[in-house]
Amino acid sequence: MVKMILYKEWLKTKGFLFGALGALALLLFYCLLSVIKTAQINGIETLWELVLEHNQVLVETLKYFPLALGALLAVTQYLPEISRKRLKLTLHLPCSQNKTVFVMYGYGLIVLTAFFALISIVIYAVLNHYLAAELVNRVFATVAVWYLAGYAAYLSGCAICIEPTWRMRAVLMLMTAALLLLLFISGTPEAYNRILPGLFIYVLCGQLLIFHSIKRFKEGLQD
Amino acid sequence: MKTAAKIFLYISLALVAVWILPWAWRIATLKSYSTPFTLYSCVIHDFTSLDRTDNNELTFIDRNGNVHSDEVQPLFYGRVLNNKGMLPDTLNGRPVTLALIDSMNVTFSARPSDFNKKDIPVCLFMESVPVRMELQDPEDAFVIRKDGIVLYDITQNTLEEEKTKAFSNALASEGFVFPVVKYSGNPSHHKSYDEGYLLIDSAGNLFQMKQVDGEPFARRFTQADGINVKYVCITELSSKAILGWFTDDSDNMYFLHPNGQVVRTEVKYNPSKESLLGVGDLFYYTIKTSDDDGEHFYALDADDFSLVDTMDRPYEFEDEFNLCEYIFPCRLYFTSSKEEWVRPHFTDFSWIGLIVDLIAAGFVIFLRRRHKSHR
Amino acid sequence: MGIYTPLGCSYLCKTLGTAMEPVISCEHLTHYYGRRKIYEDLNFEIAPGHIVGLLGKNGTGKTTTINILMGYLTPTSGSCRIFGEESHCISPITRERIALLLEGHVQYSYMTISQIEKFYSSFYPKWNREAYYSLMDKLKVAPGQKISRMSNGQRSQVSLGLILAQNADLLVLDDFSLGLDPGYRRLFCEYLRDYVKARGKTVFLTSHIIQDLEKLVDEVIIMDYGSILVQESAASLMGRFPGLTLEDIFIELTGKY
Repeated sequence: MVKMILYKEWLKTKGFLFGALGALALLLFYCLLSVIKTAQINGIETLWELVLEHNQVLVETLKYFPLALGALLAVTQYLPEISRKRLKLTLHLPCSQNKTVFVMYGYGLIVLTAFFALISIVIYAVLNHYLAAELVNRVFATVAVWYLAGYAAYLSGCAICIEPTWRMRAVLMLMTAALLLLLFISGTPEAYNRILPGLFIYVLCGQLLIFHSIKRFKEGLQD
Repeated sequence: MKTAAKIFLYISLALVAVWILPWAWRIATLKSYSTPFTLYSCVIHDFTSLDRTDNNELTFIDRNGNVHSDEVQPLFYGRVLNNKGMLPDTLNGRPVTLALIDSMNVTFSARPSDFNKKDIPVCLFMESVPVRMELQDPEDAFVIRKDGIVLYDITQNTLEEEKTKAFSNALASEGFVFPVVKYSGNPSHHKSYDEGYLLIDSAGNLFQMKQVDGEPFARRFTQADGINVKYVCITELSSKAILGWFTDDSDNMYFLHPNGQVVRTEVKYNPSKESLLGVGDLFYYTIKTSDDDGEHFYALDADDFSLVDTMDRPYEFEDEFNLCEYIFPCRLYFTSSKEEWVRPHFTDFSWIGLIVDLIAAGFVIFLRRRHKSHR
Repeated sequence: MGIYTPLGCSYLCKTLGTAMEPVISCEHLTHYYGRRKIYEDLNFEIAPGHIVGLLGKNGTGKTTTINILMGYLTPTSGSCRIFGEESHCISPITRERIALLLEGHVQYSYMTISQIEKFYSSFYPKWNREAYYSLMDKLKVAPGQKISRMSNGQRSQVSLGLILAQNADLLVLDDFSLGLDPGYRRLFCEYLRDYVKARGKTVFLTSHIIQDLEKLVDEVIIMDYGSILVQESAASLMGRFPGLTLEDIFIELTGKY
């Protein structure tokens, strides 16, 4: 049953995922080519100076990709479910509703993690060639916040899509906007180091809002 | 799950409310506030502030309210006075020239955000005595690790094992106890000379390390032994009067001479909470520290940095109406000009706001229950 | 036999036929949308093995009743039970016994007919593949054609095939005739009746096109704004109004009160 729910989610999202992969490939190519060319033309020392003296992380091009990916994945997965209230079919399946919902957004979290892992591997492969490990870690500590924004946008997007009333959707959107504002309020690398674990836990708690929206959907609430 | 979700939702909304709304109020009611530029005068031997008179004229005013022309600060306005042909030949019995004034005029500053941030354990390391006269962009870097430092050739991103050994040994021979706890350096070629880095080791002792013709130079500031050095900052002043400054855990400020001498000043300064501005000339160093309450000025003798005078200027904020203290129990903010960290700070606690919120919450709960029972 | 009283009075209905536990039972069901009353103190039961049609004009609460039964709407008061379980928390094992058709033949339109069969078959141990594909063979659609690219009638056939293949004990169909032309409506009714009668299934369906139901349903519940007007066997009802079709009877009853 879990396999079939994942199959359903795959059918819904495969077109989007291939498109996202293509977009990511272009972004990564552009971003890392810039790094490589800077190193070739201006010298590797320029990259060190950019990171150390100018607070750059060299992969700023990717900053909003995780956020966009998370939000669009949520819409791609859940718009078909709430359109004509197809979610009723999903919730009617003869398995635990909580499990069904968990597998559905678990699929999204796994997909996001796969994308982020891919980004991390490619970034590491290139940057490790030019920078000391401590500087590469600095880049990843900064990129981790962007990934968190992706997870936040996804989980919030799921809850917002499922929520049956526009009033509560507005509330959820406000909360999401505040959280995303917090995640992008500072562009300084490693500025979030002290609160990253707490933020991670808070973002993961956003799963509760999905179940909250499901419950309200099942109560038949409407505007 | 249902209860947990509701609790999560309400707490999140409350946090958003105490963050965004007070921020919006502060933005809407923001007023500019400035304090006049203040220097200790070598002419009248008093603090003078550049402020507006009753006639709206910008001029220097001393602590007694006396108005002075720019000639009260001949060293700060040396070039202007020289152009007007008004620069004196001597000041306080010492002959002065424009060249001397220019070489001795120095400024240095620091902000709390310079210290309240993630210390990157990688430092660009330039050659202090370049082959050509002018300083070049650094081609090395040292990485601070638990058991020592490692030197990299950043043009190739390769480890320089021999240099690593040489520099590590040079520090160790001076008694350096790894790891490096704090450091300060300025690896930019936009300066007249380079003195490398000031380092604090894990025993709280102060060292200097620089690269001279590719070879390590390391020395320990023995006069700083026994002082629990907390913050350090290299200055590399053009006058070479001070190599840098440091503070201890009691907020005493010390100056470092390039010859290794340590001078304790009467300045009280906490780098993590206060801003610093130092303006030095041939005769005096005016040190200004600023915190949330006001500005504190110290005039130090330029020869021995002994305290000559002090002045305090508390901020004169008017009691503004703050709507938020009547609505919210506290204010939440995540960023501050005093640090680079993003983290939650709760401040401006208000009992009135708490009571108002509790009453409002009770009222909402009452209305909802009444609505449900009517249905 | 059911008893009816003039509009505005609630009444108690007895089930027809056997003394077996009812498949569906609703007690003192009341629902409001805001201040608008849909119905008050509604009571009915559905015995096993019957095809029961819930008829009513638009806005009388047919879909509301289906939603409450399936746990997608919390009634203002009252309760519903399906196979003895509260409708708002039907267990997965019980849901396996219920085939649900949503209004408009809503399905996963991004799937093809083979993909959707593969998907559903894994959830229902009693899945009858032949029942599904015997209907799909009549569809004449390309193998890779998504359901979203089919006509209303073709989509209804897919939905019917899925319903039949589930081999459920209870079929709940919400306005199964919506958007269908007479040909597809007849195909749907014939297939459904043959299937249900052969296997003794219970069906609870709603429709606003009465003429299709005359030959399909055993029992009718006619709702009007706020309450049930009639609950009795179709034969008995038509016997009381000789010469009238079910549609005429419906208009007579709902138009009169």
